[in-house]
Amino acid sequence: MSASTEQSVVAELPVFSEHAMDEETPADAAGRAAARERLALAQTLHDTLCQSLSGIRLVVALAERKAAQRHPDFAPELTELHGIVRTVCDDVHKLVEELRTPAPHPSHPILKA
Amino acid sequence: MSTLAKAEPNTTEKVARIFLVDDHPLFRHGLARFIEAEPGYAICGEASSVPRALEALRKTNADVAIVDISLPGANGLELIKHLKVEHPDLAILVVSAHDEQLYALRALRAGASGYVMKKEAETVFLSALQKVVSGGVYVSPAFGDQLIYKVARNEGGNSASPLDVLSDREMEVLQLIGESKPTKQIAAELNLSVKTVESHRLHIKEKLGLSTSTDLVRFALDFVAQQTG
Repeated sequence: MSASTEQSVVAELPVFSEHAMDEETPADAAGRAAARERLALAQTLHDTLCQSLSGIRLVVALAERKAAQRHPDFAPELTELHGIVRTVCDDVHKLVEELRTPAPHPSHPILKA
Repeated sequence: MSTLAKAEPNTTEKVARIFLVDDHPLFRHGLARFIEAEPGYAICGEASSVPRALEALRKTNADVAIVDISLPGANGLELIKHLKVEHPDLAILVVSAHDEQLYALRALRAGASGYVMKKEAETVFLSALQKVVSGGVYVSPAFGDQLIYKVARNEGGNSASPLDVLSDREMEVLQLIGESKPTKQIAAELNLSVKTVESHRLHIKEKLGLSTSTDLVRFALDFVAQQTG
Protein backbone atom coordinates (compact mmCIF):
# COMPACT_ATOMS: atom_id res chain seq x y z
CA MET A 1 0.00 0.00 0.00
CA SER A 2 1.52 3.35 -1.01
CA ALA A 3 2.03 6.17 1.49
CA SER A 4 -0.62 8.33 -0.17
CA THR A 5 -3.09 5.45 -0.11
CA GLU A 6 -2.37 4.86 3.56
CA GLN A 7 -3.08 8.52 4.25
CA SER A 8 -6.34 8.18 2.35
CA VAL A 9 -7.26 5.15 4.40
CA VAL A 10 -6.56 6.90 7.68
CA ALA A 11 -8.44 10.01 6.58
CA GLU A 12 -11.42 7.89 5.55
CA LEU A 13 -11.68 6.22 8.94
CA PRO A 14 -11.56 9.04 11.48
CA VAL A 15 -13.75 7.07 13.87
CA PHE A 16 -10.52 5.42 14.99
CA SER A 17 -8.59 8.67 14.98
CA GLU A 18 -7.99 10.29 18.30
CA HIS A 19 -8.96 13.69 16.89
CA ALA A 20 -11.88 12.60 14.75
CA MET A 21 -14.56 14.84 16.16
CA ASP A 22 -12.44 17.95 15.76
CA GLU A 23 -11.40 17.36 12.12
CA GLU A 24 -14.33 15.63 10.42
CA THR A 25 -15.91 17.24 7.39
CA PRO A 26 -18.84 15.97 5.31
CA ALA A 27 -16.34 14.81 2.69
CA ASP A 28 -14.40 12.90 5.35
CA ALA A 29 -17.58 11.27 6.61
CA ALA A 30 -18.64 10.32 3.08
CA GLY A 31 -15.21 8.92 2.33
CA ARG A 32 -15.25 6.95 5.55
CA ALA A 33 -18.66 5.50 4.75
CA ALA A 34 -17.53 4.55 1.26
CA ALA A 35 -14.41 2.85 2.62
CA ARG A 36 -16.49 0.84 5.07
CA GLU A 37 -18.83 -0.23 2.30
CA ARG A 38 -15.93 -1.36 0.11
CA LEU A 39 -14.43 -3.43 2.92
CA ALA A 40 -17.81 -4.90 3.86
CA LEU A 41 -18.42 -5.83 0.22
CA ALA A 42 -14.96 -7.38 -0.06
CA GLN A 43 -15.55 -9.44 3.04
CA THR A 44 -18.98 -10.59 1.89
CA LEU A 45 -17.58 -11.61 -1.49
CA HIS A 46 -14.73 -13.44 0.24
CA ASP A 47 -17.02 -15.23 2.68
CA THR A 48 -19.75 -16.19 0.20
CA LEU A 49 -18.95 -16.08 -3.50
CA CYS A 50 -15.30 -17.19 -3.20
CA GLN A 51 -16.28 -20.14 -1.06
CA SER A 52 -19.12 -21.16 -3.36
CA LEU A 53 -16.85 -20.99 -6.39
CA SER A 54 -14.28 -23.15 -4.60
CA GLY A 55 -16.99 -25.74 -3.97
CA ILE A 56 -18.15 -25.62 -7.60
CA ARG A 57 -14.56 -25.98 -8.77
CA LEU A 58 -14.18 -29.18 -6.75
CA VAL A 59 -17.33 -30.74 -8.24
CA VAL A 60 -16.35 -29.72 -11.77
CA ALA A 61 -12.87 -31.19 -11.26
CA LEU A 62 -14.50 -34.42 -10.14
CA ALA A 63 -16.79 -34.47 -13.20
CA GLU A 64 -13.81 -33.82 -15.46
CA ARG A 65 -11.91 -36.72 -13.96
CA LYS A 66 -14.86 -39.10 -14.22
CA ALA A 67 -15.47 -38.08 -17.82
CA ALA A 68 -11.84 -38.70 -18.72
CA GLN A 69 -12.11 -42.20 -17.28
CA ARG A 70 -15.58 -43.28 -18.40
CA HIS A 71 -17.01 -40.82 -20.93
CA PRO A 72 -14.15 -39.39 -23.00
CA ASP A 73 -16.63 -37.72 -25.39
CA PHE A 74 -17.57 -35.26 -22.65
CA ALA A 75 -14.04 -34.74 -21.39
CA PRO A 76 -13.00 -31.74 -23.56
CA GLU A 77 -16.04 -29.66 -22.60
CA LEU A 78 -15.62 -30.45 -18.92
CA THR A 79 -11.94 -29.57 -19.11
CA GLU A 80 -12.96 -26.28 -20.68
CA LEU A 81 -15.58 -25.73 -17.97
CA HIS A 82 -12.99 -26.44 -15.28
CA GLY A 83 -10.73 -23.82 -16.82
CA ILE A 84 -13.56 -21.28 -16.95
CA VAL A 85 -14.45 -21.87 -13.30
CA ARG A 86 -10.79 -21.47 -12.27
CA THR A 87 -10.63 -18.18 -14.20
CA VAL A 88 -13.80 -16.92 -12.53
CA CYS A 89 -12.35 -17.86 -9.12
CA ASP A 90 -9.19 -15.90 -9.88
CA ASP A 91 -11.19 -12.90 -11.13
CA VAL A 92 -13.28 -12.79 -7.96
CA HIS A 93 -10.16 -13.04 -5.79
CA LYS A 94 -8.68 -10.08 -7.68
CA LEU A 95 -11.89 -8.13 -7.21
CA VAL A 96 -11.76 -8.77 -3.47
CA GLU A 97 -8.17 -7.51 -3.36
CA GLU A 98 -9.11 -4.37 -5.29
CA LEU A 99 -12.02 -3.64 -2.99
CA ARG A 100 -9.74 -4.00 0.01
CA THR A 101 -7.41 -1.40 -1.44
CA PRO A 102 -8.99 1.89 -0.39
CA ALA A 103 -10.25 4.38 -2.95
CA PRO A 104 -8.38 7.71 -3.06
CA HIS A 105 -9.48 10.34 -0.56
CA PRO A 106 -11.88 12.92 -2.11
CA SER A 107 -9.17 15.54 -1.81
CA HIS A 108 -6.59 13.38 -3.60
CA PRO A 109 -5.24 15.08 -6.72
CA ILE A 110 -6.03 12.06 -8.85
CA LEU A 111 -9.74 12.80 -8.44
CA LYS A 112 -9.47 16.46 -9.37
CA ALA A 113 -10.43 17.38 -12.93
CA MET B 1 -25.60 -28.92 10.86
CA SER B 2 -26.15 -32.53 11.90
CA THR B 3 -23.63 -35.26 11.43
CA LEU B 4 -23.85 -37.28 8.27
CA ALA B 5 -23.38 -40.97 8.95
CA LYS B 6 -22.23 -43.03 6.01
CA ALA B 7 -21.73 -46.74 5.77
CA GLU B 8 -18.20 -47.81 4.95
CA PRO B 9 -17.69 -49.58 1.61
CA ASN B 10 -17.81 -53.33 1.71
CA THR B 11 -14.12 -53.94 1.28
CA THR B 12 -11.24 -55.24 3.33
CA GLU B 13 -9.13 -52.30 2.21
CA LYS B 14 -8.53 -49.75 4.96
CA VAL B 15 -10.69 -46.66 4.43
CA ALA B 16 -9.73 -43.38 6.07
CA ARG B 17 -12.71 -41.77 7.79
CA ILE B 18 -12.82 -38.03 7.13
CA PHE B 19 -14.77 -35.47 9.15
CA LEU B 20 -15.43 -32.03 7.61
CA VAL B 21 -15.70 -28.77 9.57
CA ASP B 22 -16.58 -25.76 7.39
CA ASP B 23 -19.40 -23.26 7.74
CA HIS B 24 -19.95 -22.81 4.02
CA PRO B 25 -22.46 -25.42 2.77
CA LEU B 26 -21.54 -25.35 -0.92
CA PHE B 27 -17.84 -25.67 -0.27
CA ARG B 28 -18.42 -28.47 2.23
CA HIS B 29 -20.65 -30.27 -0.29
CA GLY B 30 -18.07 -29.95 -3.08
CA LEU B 31 -15.31 -31.13 -0.78
CA ALA B 32 -17.32 -34.13 0.41
CA ARG B 33 -18.15 -35.18 -3.18
CA PHE B 34 -14.55 -34.78 -4.25
CA ILE B 35 -13.13 -36.79 -1.36
CA GLU B 36 -15.65 -39.61 -1.58
CA ALA B 37 -14.84 -40.17 -5.25
CA GLU B 38 -11.30 -41.08 -4.22
CA PRO B 39 -10.70 -44.73 -3.29
CA GLY B 40 -9.66 -45.18 0.32
CA TYR B 41 -11.62 -42.27 1.78
CA ALA B 42 -15.09 -41.96 3.28
CA ILE B 43 -16.88 -39.00 4.85
CA CYS B 44 -17.99 -39.95 8.36
CA GLY B 45 -19.55 -36.61 9.37
CA GLU B 46 -19.80 -32.86 8.87
CA ALA B 47 -20.23 -29.81 11.09
CA SER B 48 -20.53 -26.10 10.47
CA SER B 49 -19.35 -24.74 13.81
CA VAL B 50 -16.86 -25.44 16.59
CA PRO B 51 -19.38 -26.63 19.23
CA ARG B 52 -21.11 -28.94 16.76
CA ALA B 53 -17.79 -30.31 15.56
CA LEU B 54 -16.63 -31.09 19.10
CA GLU B 55 -19.93 -32.75 19.94
CA ALA B 56 -20.05 -34.82 16.75
CA LEU B 57 -16.44 -35.96 16.93
CA ARG B 58 -17.03 -37.35 20.41
CA LYS B 59 -19.54 -39.74 18.84
CA THR B 60 -17.73 -40.43 15.57
CA ASN B 61 -14.56 -42.39 15.07
CA ALA B 62 -12.73 -40.22 12.57
CA ASP B 63 -9.18 -40.64 11.30
CA VAL B 64 -8.82 -37.14 9.86
CA ALA B 65 -10.62 -33.85 10.47
CA ILE B 66 -10.54 -31.23 7.71
CA VAL B 67 -10.99 -27.88 9.41
CA ASP B 68 -11.48 -24.31 8.20
CA ILE B 69 -9.90 -21.42 10.11
CA SER B 70 -12.93 -19.10 9.88
CA LEU B 71 -15.78 -20.63 11.85
CA PRO B 72 -18.73 -19.07 13.69
CA GLY B 73 -18.06 -18.11 17.30
CA ALA B 74 -14.48 -19.33 17.59
CA ASN B 75 -11.82 -19.86 15.00
CA GLY B 76 -10.39 -23.11 13.73
CA LEU B 77 -7.18 -22.71 15.72
CA GLU B 78 -9.11 -23.03 18.96
CA LEU B 79 -10.94 -26.06 17.57
CA ILE B 80 -7.64 -27.71 16.62
CA LYS B 81 -6.28 -27.23 20.14
CA HIS B 82 -9.42 -28.71 21.69
CA LEU B 83 -9.40 -31.65 19.28
CA LYS B 84 -5.78 -32.53 19.97
CA VAL B 85 -6.60 -32.71 23.68
CA GLU B 86 -9.72 -34.84 23.23
CA HIS B 87 -8.49 -36.93 20.27
CA PRO B 88 -4.68 -37.06 20.29
CA ASP B 89 -4.56 -39.55 17.41
CA LEU B 90 -6.83 -37.51 15.15
CA ALA B 91 -4.93 -36.04 12.19
CA ILE B 92 -6.03 -32.52 11.27
CA LEU B 93 -5.74 -30.88 7.87
CA VAL B 94 -6.59 -27.19 7.64
CA VAL B 95 -8.27 -26.07 4.40
CA SER B 96 -8.67 -22.32 4.52
CA ALA B 97 -9.23 -19.23 2.41
CA HIS B 98 -6.66 -17.43 4.55
CA ASP B 99 -3.16 -17.05 3.23
CA GLU B 100 -0.75 -19.72 4.46
CA GLN B 101 1.76 -16.98 5.28
CA LEU B 102 -0.54 -15.84 8.07
CA TYR B 103 -1.98 -18.98 9.52
CA ALA B 104 -0.11 -22.12 8.42
CA LEU B 105 2.53 -21.97 11.13
CA ARG B 106 -0.06 -21.16 13.78
CA ALA B 107 -2.17 -24.10 12.63
CA LEU B 108 0.80 -26.45 12.87
CA ARG B 109 1.68 -25.12 16.31
CA ALA B 110 -1.93 -25.65 17.40
CA GLY B 111 -1.60 -29.31 16.39
CA ALA B 112 -2.62 -29.52 12.73
CA SER B 113 -0.71 -31.82 10.40
CA GLY B 114 -1.21 -29.80 7.25
CA TYR B 115 -2.41 -26.55 5.72
CA VAL B 116 -3.87 -26.01 2.24
CA MET B 117 -5.38 -22.84 0.85
CA LYS B 118 -8.80 -23.17 -0.77
CA LYS B 119 -7.54 -21.54 -3.95
CA GLU B 120 -5.06 -24.35 -4.57
CA ALA B 121 -5.62 -26.87 -7.33
CA GLU B 122 -7.55 -30.01 -6.51
CA THR B 123 -4.48 -32.19 -7.08
CA VAL B 124 -2.66 -30.23 -4.37
CA PHE B 125 -5.48 -30.87 -1.99
CA LEU B 126 -5.38 -34.62 -2.65
CA SER B 127 -1.62 -34.68 -2.08
CA ALA B 128 -2.09 -32.91 1.24
CA LEU B 129 -4.83 -35.29 2.35
CA GLN B 130 -2.78 -38.32 1.37
CA LYS B 131 0.22 -37.02 3.31
CA VAL B 132 -1.80 -36.29 6.43
CA VAL B 133 -3.67 -39.61 6.31
CA SER B 134 -0.37 -41.46 6.14
CA GLY B 135 0.89 -39.64 9.23
CA GLY B 136 2.98 -36.97 7.55
CA VAL B 137 2.90 -33.18 7.60
CA TYR B 138 1.86 -31.10 4.60
CA VAL B 139 2.55 -27.48 3.72
CA SER B 140 3.05 -26.09 0.23
CA PRO B 141 6.59 -26.53 -1.12
CA ALA B 142 7.03 -22.73 -1.23
CA PHE B 143 5.98 -22.33 2.39
CA GLY B 144 8.11 -25.30 3.42
CA ASP B 145 11.17 -23.66 1.86
CA GLN B 146 10.41 -20.40 3.67
CA LEU B 147 10.05 -22.28 6.95
CA ILE B 148 13.40 -23.97 6.55
CA TYR B 149 15.04 -20.66 5.67
CA LYS B 150 13.35 -18.98 8.61
CA VAL B 151 14.52 -21.65 11.04
CA ALA B 152 18.06 -21.55 9.66
CA ARG B 153 18.18 -17.78 9.81
CA ASN B 154 16.66 -17.55 13.25
CA GLU B 155 18.91 -19.93 15.11
CA GLY B 156 19.24 -17.24 17.76
CA GLY B 157 15.50 -17.51 18.41
CA ASN B 158 14.45 -14.08 17.13
CA SER B 159 11.23 -13.91 15.17
CA ALA B 160 11.43 -12.79 11.53
CA SER B 161 7.81 -11.64 11.27
CA PRO B 162 6.23 -8.95 13.47
CA LEU B 163 3.00 -10.96 13.55
CA ASP B 164 4.71 -13.96 15.13
CA VAL B 165 4.68 -12.17 18.48
CA LEU B 166 0.90 -12.01 18.53
CA SER B 167 -1.15 -14.70 20.19
CA ASP B 168 -3.77 -16.56 18.14
CA ARG B 169 -6.51 -14.51 19.77
CA GLU B 170 -4.69 -11.27 19.06
CA MET B 171 -4.41 -12.33 15.41
CA GLU B 172 -8.16 -12.84 15.33
CA VAL B 173 -8.75 -9.37 16.76
CA LEU B 174 -6.26 -7.83 14.30
CA GLN B 175 -8.06 -9.52 11.41
CA LEU B 176 -11.42 -8.11 12.50
CA ILE B 177 -10.01 -4.62 13.01
CA GLY B 178 -8.64 -4.86 9.47
CA GLU B 179 -12.13 -5.74 8.29
CA SER B 180 -13.24 -2.37 9.68
CA LYS B 181 -15.35 -3.85 12.45
CA PRO B 182 -15.96 -1.76 15.57
CA THR B 183 -14.96 -3.08 19.00
CA LYS B 184 -18.50 -3.96 19.97
CA GLN B 185 -18.97 -6.14 16.91
CA ILE B 186 -15.60 -7.80 17.41
CA ALA B 187 -16.60 -8.62 20.98
CA ALA B 188 -19.89 -10.14 19.81
CA GLU B 189 -18.25 -12.25 17.10
CA LEU B 190 -15.57 -13.62 19.41
CA ASN B 191 -17.86 -14.05 22.43
CA LEU B 192 -15.72 -11.68 24.46
CA SER B 193 -16.45 -8.59 26.53
CA VAL B 194 -15.75 -5.17 25.04
CA LYS B 195 -13.18 -4.66 27.77
CA THR B 196 -11.32 -7.82 26.77
CA VAL B 197 -11.23 -6.76 23.14
CA GLU B 198 -9.91 -3.34 24.15
CA SER B 199 -7.25 -5.11 26.21
CA HIS B 200 -6.26 -7.18 23.17
CA ARG B 201 -6.07 -4.01 21.06
CA LEU B 202 -3.74 -2.50 23.61
CA HIS B 203 -1.51 -5.58 23.68
CA ILE B 204 -1.40 -5.67 19.88
CA LYS B 205 -0.31 -2.05 19.75
CA GLU B 206 2.39 -2.67 22.34
CA LYS B 207 3.71 -5.83 20.70
CA LEU B 208 3.78 -4.30 17.24
CA GLY B 209 5.24 -1.01 18.44
CA LEU B 210 2.25 1.03 17.25
CA SER B 211 1.74 4.37 18.98
CA THR B 212 -1.89 5.23 18.28
CA SER B 213 -5.20 3.66 17.40
CA THR B 214 -4.84 5.18 13.96
CA ASP B 215 -1.55 3.35 13.48
CA LEU B 216 -3.21 0.13 14.61
CA VAL B 217 -6.09 0.53 12.14
CA ARG B 218 -3.71 1.38 9.31
CA PHE B 219 -1.61 -1.71 10.09
CA ALA B 220 -4.70 -3.92 10.34
CA LEU B 221 -6.14 -2.62 7.07
CA ASP B 222 -2.84 -3.26 5.33
CA PHE B 223 -2.69 -6.73 6.90
CA VAL B 224 -6.13 -7.64 5.53
CA ALA B 225 -5.53 -5.98 2.15
CA GLN B 226 -2.41 -8.08 1.60
CA GLN B 227 -4.19 -11.34 2.23
CA THR B 228 -4.91 -13.41 -0.80
CA GLY B 229 -7.46 -16.17 -1.22
